[in-house]
Amino acid sequence: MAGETGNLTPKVQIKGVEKVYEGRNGKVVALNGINLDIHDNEFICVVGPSGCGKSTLLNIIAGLHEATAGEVLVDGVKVEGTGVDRGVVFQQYALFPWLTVEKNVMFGLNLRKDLTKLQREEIAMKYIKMVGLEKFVHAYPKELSGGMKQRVAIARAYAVNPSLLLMDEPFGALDAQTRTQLQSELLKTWEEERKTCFFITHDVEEAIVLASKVVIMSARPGRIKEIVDIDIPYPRTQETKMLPRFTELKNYIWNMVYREYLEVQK
Amino acid sequence: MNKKKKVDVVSKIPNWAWLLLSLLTAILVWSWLSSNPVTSRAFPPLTKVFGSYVKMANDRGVFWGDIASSLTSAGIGFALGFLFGVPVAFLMAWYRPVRNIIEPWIQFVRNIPPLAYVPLVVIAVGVGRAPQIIVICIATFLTISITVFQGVINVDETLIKAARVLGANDAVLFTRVIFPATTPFIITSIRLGISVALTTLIAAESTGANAGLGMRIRALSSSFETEPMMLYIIVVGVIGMLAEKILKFFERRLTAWQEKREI
Ligand SMILES: Nc1ncnc2c1ncn2[C@@H]1O[C@H](COP(=O)(O)OP(=O)(O)OP(=O)(O)O)[C@@H](O)[C@H]1O
Ligand SMILES: [Mg+2]
Repeated sequence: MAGETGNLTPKVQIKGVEKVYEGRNGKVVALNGINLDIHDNEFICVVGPSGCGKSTLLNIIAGLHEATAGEVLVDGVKVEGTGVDRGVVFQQYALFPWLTVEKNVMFGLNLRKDLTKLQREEIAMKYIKMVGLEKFVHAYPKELSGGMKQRVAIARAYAVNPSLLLMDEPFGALDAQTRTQLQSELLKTWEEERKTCFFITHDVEEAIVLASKVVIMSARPGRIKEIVDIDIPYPRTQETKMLPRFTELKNYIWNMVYREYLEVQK
Repeated sequence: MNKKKKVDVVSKIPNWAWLLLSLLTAILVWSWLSSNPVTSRAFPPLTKVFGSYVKMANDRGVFWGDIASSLTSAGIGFALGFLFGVPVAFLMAWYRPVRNIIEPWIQFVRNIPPLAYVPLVVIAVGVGRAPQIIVICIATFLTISITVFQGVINVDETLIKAARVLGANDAVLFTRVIFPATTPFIITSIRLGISVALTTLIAAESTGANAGLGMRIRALSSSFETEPMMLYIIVVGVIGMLAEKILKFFERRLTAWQEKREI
């Protein structure tokens, strides 16, 4: 159901990725032998206890960190440094505070020489409209709420049209209501474009309502413990959370994550 | 209830009125100090202080020349200090070896009072305008480089990451992220630099200058001419305040985006 693609080479191949941080208190093995294929049009959600290496993995795919061993291939090409084929949305919004909403969304576009100013503005406007902020094009980040800031960050990532979207707990800092709202918006956008997504969250419900596959990671050193296919068909809405199958999956995944959490406590 | 009302009255008074009130209070305190026998020698009546303008400007004809001379030395010295200080700050933040070598020098010289190294400067370049400029340049350079350096190393790491994943190379990262993110610190460094340039005037003009506010304050102090000396001290203070006002004006335009703690 989830991997309904004709293309057999995976979009992303994570092969034996390891990450060891040399901390002041010795070595920290953050990731230990991660193998994962992500196919085109998949929506992957990653859950796991805090500190299990989720962000580390995302940063390695993005090219912001280097793996200690192993490699990541995107479209068959080894990742070395960042690239505009991979967009990132951070938990802390990371908007440029000295730029207006419009200029933030245009940041990546402005680095492209093949577009005229008018084209850049049009593209930016399209995505600003997509996230419903057309009334705030000239506002500065300080004038926006947390939810609005994250909408800008999503528009900014979309504007450069990456073929892979990496999101590190993008809704983690938002209140429950704003969070469900942004989930619905993201679902709608994803259902239209089916852009491959790699989405980290702590919220099991969020993972199930969004994902075509949920990746559960084990406590440190981070490993992939299980991959759960979410066999609830799209389009999904917040009502999806009421389905019996949803509850079933939620209990299953929650139990797995909870056991890992207990591991950490030990 | 009561407390809220009070706050309202305070916020209703416009800024210019506060300034006026502050000035009036200062005059009042001064008048009291000049009528008090213990302090009256240091604080001559304000009328006499301002009256001494005639003596300095018309009789001796040095008042405006002193201001011009000091503004020239302070202006050029500050400009040079800024011109060297900002790039050095960025280099220290960017390249660890540069930082490891230069930062201790800066920390070392920073705590030496300028008056102490004035003789060295005079031995090196002789008397005249040059030593004045050099002394002010050194003092402002130290302040500006340290302040801007702090700003650069405090640029939010996630902003750099965000720019990278949007396709920024090193040059773009520098001009469109690190530089704008540092502007508030650059402005603060200008503020501190101006203040250092003015406070260093006395030391700078002790290099055998024949005009200048700092040189004149020393001269008037040694001839016990308290009234014109006070006038000159007030002039230095006013110049500082005017510079601050101009800076505030630019700051408001350049860093309007900043999250402000409203004061
Ligand atoms: N720069 C670093 N230096 C040293 N250790 C690090 C560094 N970054 C992360 N770590 C360690 O690596 C492990 C994984 O960190 P990571 O941020 O990837 O976890 P996470 O799963 O994203 O956690 P959370 O859910 O809390 O965001 C942690 O134990 C952390 O302490
Ligand atoms: Mg994380």
